Amino acid sequence: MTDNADAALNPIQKTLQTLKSLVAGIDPNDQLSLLKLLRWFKDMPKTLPEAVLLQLDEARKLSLRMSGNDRSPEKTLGELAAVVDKVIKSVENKPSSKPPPPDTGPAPDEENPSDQDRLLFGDFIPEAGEHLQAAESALLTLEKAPNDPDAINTVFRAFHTLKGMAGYVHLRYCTDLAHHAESLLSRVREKEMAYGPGIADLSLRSIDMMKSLVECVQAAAQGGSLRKLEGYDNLLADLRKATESGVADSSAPMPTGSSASVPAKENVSANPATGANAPAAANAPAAANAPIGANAPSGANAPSMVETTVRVRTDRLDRLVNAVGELVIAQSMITQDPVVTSPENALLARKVAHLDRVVRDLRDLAMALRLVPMKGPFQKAARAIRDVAQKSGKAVDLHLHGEEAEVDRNVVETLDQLLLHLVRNAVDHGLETPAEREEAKKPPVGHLFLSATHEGGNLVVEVREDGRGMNREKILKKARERGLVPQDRELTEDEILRLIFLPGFSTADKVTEVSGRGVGLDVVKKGIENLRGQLDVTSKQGQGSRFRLRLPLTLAVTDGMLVRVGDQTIILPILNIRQTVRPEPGIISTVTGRGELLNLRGEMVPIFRLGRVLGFSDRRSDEGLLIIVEDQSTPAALWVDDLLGQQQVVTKSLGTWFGQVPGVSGGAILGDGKVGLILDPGEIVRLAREDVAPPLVQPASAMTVTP
Amino acid sequence: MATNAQETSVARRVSGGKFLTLFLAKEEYGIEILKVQEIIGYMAITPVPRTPDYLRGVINLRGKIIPVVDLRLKLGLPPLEGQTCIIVVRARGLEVGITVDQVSEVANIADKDIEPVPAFGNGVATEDLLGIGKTGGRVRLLLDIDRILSAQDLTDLHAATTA
Repeated sequence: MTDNADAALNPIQKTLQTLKSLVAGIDPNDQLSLLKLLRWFKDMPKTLPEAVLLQLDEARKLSLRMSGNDRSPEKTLGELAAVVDKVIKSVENKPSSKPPPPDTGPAPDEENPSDQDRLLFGDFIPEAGEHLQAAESALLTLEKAPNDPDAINTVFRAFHTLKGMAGYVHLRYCTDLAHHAESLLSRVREKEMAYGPGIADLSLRSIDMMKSLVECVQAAAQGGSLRKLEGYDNLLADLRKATESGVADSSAPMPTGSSASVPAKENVSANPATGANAPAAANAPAAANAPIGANAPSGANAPSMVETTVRVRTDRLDRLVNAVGELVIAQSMITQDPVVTSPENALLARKVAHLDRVVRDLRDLAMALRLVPMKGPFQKAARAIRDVAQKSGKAVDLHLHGEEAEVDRNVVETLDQLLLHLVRNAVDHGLETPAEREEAKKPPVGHLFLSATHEGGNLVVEVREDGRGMNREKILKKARERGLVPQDRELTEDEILRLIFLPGFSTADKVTEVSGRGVGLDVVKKGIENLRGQLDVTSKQGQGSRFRLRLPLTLAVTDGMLVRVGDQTIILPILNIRQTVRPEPGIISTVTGRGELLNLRGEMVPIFRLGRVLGFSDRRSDEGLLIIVEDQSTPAALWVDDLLGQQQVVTKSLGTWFGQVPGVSGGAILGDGKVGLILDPGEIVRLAREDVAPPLVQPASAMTVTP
Repeated sequence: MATNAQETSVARRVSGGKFLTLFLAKEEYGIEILKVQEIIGYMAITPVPRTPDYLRGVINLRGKIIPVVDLRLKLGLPPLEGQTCIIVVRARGLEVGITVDQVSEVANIADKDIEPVPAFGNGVATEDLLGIGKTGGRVRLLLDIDRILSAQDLTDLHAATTA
């Protein structure tokens, strides 16, 4: 590889000389000469190393400035010439400045970057992140299609670029690592080696190490020092060894045909039986799925990098969204003002209505600014799936769908972790090993579907696999043993399935093994509810399970149901509301004179008086409305005094002062300027249950039903 | 100044300057003017459930939600029914509203007129006071608003109520 780079030096220098002569020939007052230069930048040979391209970008900007309303074109021209000279020099210096890779030994493990470099880290970090992401995504493509030359190229280029970028800011460890990874991959690219699990592993390890190094750089940008990380030397040695002598598994016979038939996800060493499965696995599903899953987007990815984007600091973005939120509130106050609504002022009302539309558009736009695609979380999930599959000896074919679906970045941050939990579960507990699958007369490779779609104002994410499915009998048995369900209480199939979300259901590993599911699913459920979303599960024994997440697209705005409780206006997120019911005498029963039960088409639902739960009023009226919400997937009815209507509200925190108020997820400013509390219905019900006896523990036969 | 006044009393912890004075249950108190952001008339307070009594709730301060503390209850004075006045103060960098019976004036209290708080015993919360100001025959209890409104206090309470 190093030879390649050196050989490539000449054309680079030639290209740069062309540029230099172009710059020299520029007359600031001659638009034509400028145009020539701009065209050169436009058609700039993309064969240049990206480090050079990066530097040239500065020159391009300068020339653009000159073509615009530049007041001192002469000065800009001078700057431009200087930049070009600098680039040329940096290219000349490159071979000598590149440290000989194996000689890293005597250098100290810690070093302090110069202040000048530190300043440049700010640009390096996000860009390195982007390249690493591209590489990771391409590696996942390679899992499916180990021969995809585009994907190999992407990974190679990522490391190559990183090397250049890191070298530019004198990050020795990053440069060396990138260099070694690049060398290995270049052998794959040149078809001297086949891409196999060994190389895949090394590449992923390199990416991980590079990520850690970049994190280190991030710390160093604030004034820390750079140090060599644990495992760095080992990784470099492994990379070197693999580059020189190949990786154990890929040095095996590698005629073009058979190299494709060893799916990378097969854990060859851990499970000898999979050896037999490999060809079968590859013949049918791998070939069939190659075009669907990660393969298709990778092709589309390359051009999408060109998308014109601007980096904006997230706090500014948040402030913008907040300000627009205020605007929406102020606007709704005006719209509802009696002066505007009075019939005499129809003209004013028309103008206000117009303003209203503009404000709404503006709000939608502002919200859209914070939306990010699901690609990020999906990629992390795909990575986790690969790791878990390898560890647990499972063969998984991953199908991604809807990576481009967007969601608020504040949602994504939490969603990320929850999704990881779910997919790990799906592979670890949902899918069977190839041997088990064959026994069950299923194809040895399990399928995992990860999809994201927009439904109404919500994002729906699904994690589905065709694994063993959940055994309801075992779940129920376990739940009874753990005292979560009374022995004589009968549950419907769905109710049994929902037990897996109960806290305490799945704390012990033993339970997980028996039930086949449930590492901290209560945590996932709670997390989703914190995002004001919902989590459902369906499962068929022998055929697999499906987890379905329903989330609001943004946390900034809540679709709220406004209800009156005492003299307070309370907001309940519509997403958490199943239905509303008028309390008629026939469907409500009291339990031992204290509790109340609603007969909801045969389903007995506990009623909680919201006023009493919140401590606002203890008055017990027969007027009002019942709002059916769900807690831990079991329904509960909240009794409110009145329904005031639906409204989109801008969610605000109650402030750090309050910390976490149980049952309250935030506040919103209502049309009358007062603050309305946004409740977390699930938690409200839980709080209420602490006051009343938990209904699940209450045996059904013991309920004294009095009309 | 804190060093020269260490007798049997709690050290005086404030120097002279301008104080906003206010009434609480017929006692006159003072808050350093620099801590006071604005005085707003009474406005509807939204109660927040399952929080301590002295937390009256939250209000909308120009689009921002801020908490309101009943200063009477916080200092252990009997509650006052009816409308009060809300002073917005900045305590530990956070805006907090406090309800008081009545705002009196902005008084200039010279350094020499501020005395350290004597030790009372009897559970009088002297640690909430910075000192005692006496001008023109009037005694004003100078409040350590940062201490009184320390969020830590609240989070502790929270942990206690939610545990």
